[in-house]
Amino acid sequence: MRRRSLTGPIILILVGAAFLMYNLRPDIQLLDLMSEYWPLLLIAWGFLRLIEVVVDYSRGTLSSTPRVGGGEVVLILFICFIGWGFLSLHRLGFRFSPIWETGKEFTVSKQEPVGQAKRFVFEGGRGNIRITGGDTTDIVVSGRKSVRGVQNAEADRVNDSTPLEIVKDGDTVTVRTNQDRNSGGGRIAEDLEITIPGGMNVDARGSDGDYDVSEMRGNVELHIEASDVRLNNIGGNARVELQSSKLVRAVDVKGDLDLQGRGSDVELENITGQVTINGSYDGRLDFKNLAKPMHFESPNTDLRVAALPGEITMSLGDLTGNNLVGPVHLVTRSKDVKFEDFTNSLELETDRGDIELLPKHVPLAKIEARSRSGQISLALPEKAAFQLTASTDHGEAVNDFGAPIQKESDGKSASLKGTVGQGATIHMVTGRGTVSVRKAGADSEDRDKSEKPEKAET
Amino acid sequence: MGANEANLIRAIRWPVTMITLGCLFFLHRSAGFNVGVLLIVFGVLTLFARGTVNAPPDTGQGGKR
Repeated sequence: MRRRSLTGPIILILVGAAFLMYNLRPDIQLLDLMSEYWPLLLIAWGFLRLIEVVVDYSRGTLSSTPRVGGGEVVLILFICFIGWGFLSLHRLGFRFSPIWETGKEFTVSKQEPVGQAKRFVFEGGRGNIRITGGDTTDIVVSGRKSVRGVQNAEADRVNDSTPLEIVKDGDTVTVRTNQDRNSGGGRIAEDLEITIPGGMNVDARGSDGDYDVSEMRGNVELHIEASDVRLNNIGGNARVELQSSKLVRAVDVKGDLDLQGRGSDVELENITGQVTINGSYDGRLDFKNLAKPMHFESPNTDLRVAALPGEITMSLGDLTGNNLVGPVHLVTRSKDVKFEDFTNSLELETDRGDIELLPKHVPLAKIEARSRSGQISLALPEKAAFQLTASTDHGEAVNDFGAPIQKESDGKSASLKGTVGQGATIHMVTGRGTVSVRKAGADSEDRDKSEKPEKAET
Repeated sequence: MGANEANLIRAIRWPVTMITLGCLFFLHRSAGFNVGVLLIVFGVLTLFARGTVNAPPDTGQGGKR
């Protein structure tokens, strides 16, 4: 007789254990955790099925009929559909736990004179924090504290055991939320608005929540586990360390900006100092008006520019830049790259992706572009002077500059070589795809008819 | 390939697809959700399964008559 599958009961036990855990530890955000980690259920289900198959095979009892029925397939699709919906809502910032949770809210209010202190330290836990600099000599803290997942009496006890403190020590004033003192149940979150003298240096640490710092003349340093960060009008240097974030936005920072960690979207605008970004960011990155050198380094991309009066936009598959001051250096694995209006030298290398370059100023500076697979297109000002070498292993070569540039084809490969006036060297190499040197502003349709190969090999 | 191996490939097709699906959902934030990977995995396993259909059945007799 064929043995019935054990997967169903085991999955039921796992789901039951999750709900039991929620009863025993109501502070755990079960639905929020499940909305993030439900794919593990599919993986566990698959592994259990796989183990059953291997065991049956080793015993010689493997059935010739499929072990997954139509009902199971429908159930899997249903889980995927619901799970994807929950995951999308969770990623958009929706939190399920507060919908039915018990708990209580408390008002937080405290004020202390700063005295001679120059440094402000915030030791927070979970909660959204807004720190604003102002013309004041006091630290003013106001907001609300919520204790969730416990009954009212227990919430009162939790609140009493975790008082907000303002501690002065030398030139440092520390605001502590003391959430780590909560040894009982319940989940604490504090949404606080803190006003401090604008000239202080800020050092804030927290675990989870959005941080908004503005109108500070001193340095700002943030170390947060999971957070959205907004910096606005910062007079000194800013340093942000994050383990996870959906958005980091910094506008009008007078000093250097150093961003480390992981996250999604990054928006930087009007940064007067040097910008260093190191980490993994899988969303959209926008950089505008950066006055000093910028260095972006992620596992897949290394980008350096000397300054950015214009804009750079980057996503997982694209990188576009406009009005860049070189030297520009870019090494990336898989991106279509378009740089328009750049000065000084450009060095660019991508494993997979098209490259489009449109320098607008003469005299040109040195350009070096390489792609293992992707077309390289260079549109130069009509009066540009340059020494060109361009080649493709599999593809066509297109030239708008006529006789001074010699075109050679050999089987699937093609190359361009020549000199137009006395100018900088331009070197372009692709393994697969068209290389083209065009005159900027020439009619693209006419050009396409006369020059473009019938079939581009990209 | 014997009938047992053919059954084995058919039997592991769905579990492997489920594991792939779970991994794709779990990693979609960092790696993107690539349906192509899922189709390739399922397609390769289906090809293997079909490739075994025409194989002579393994009777396990070892040449005895």
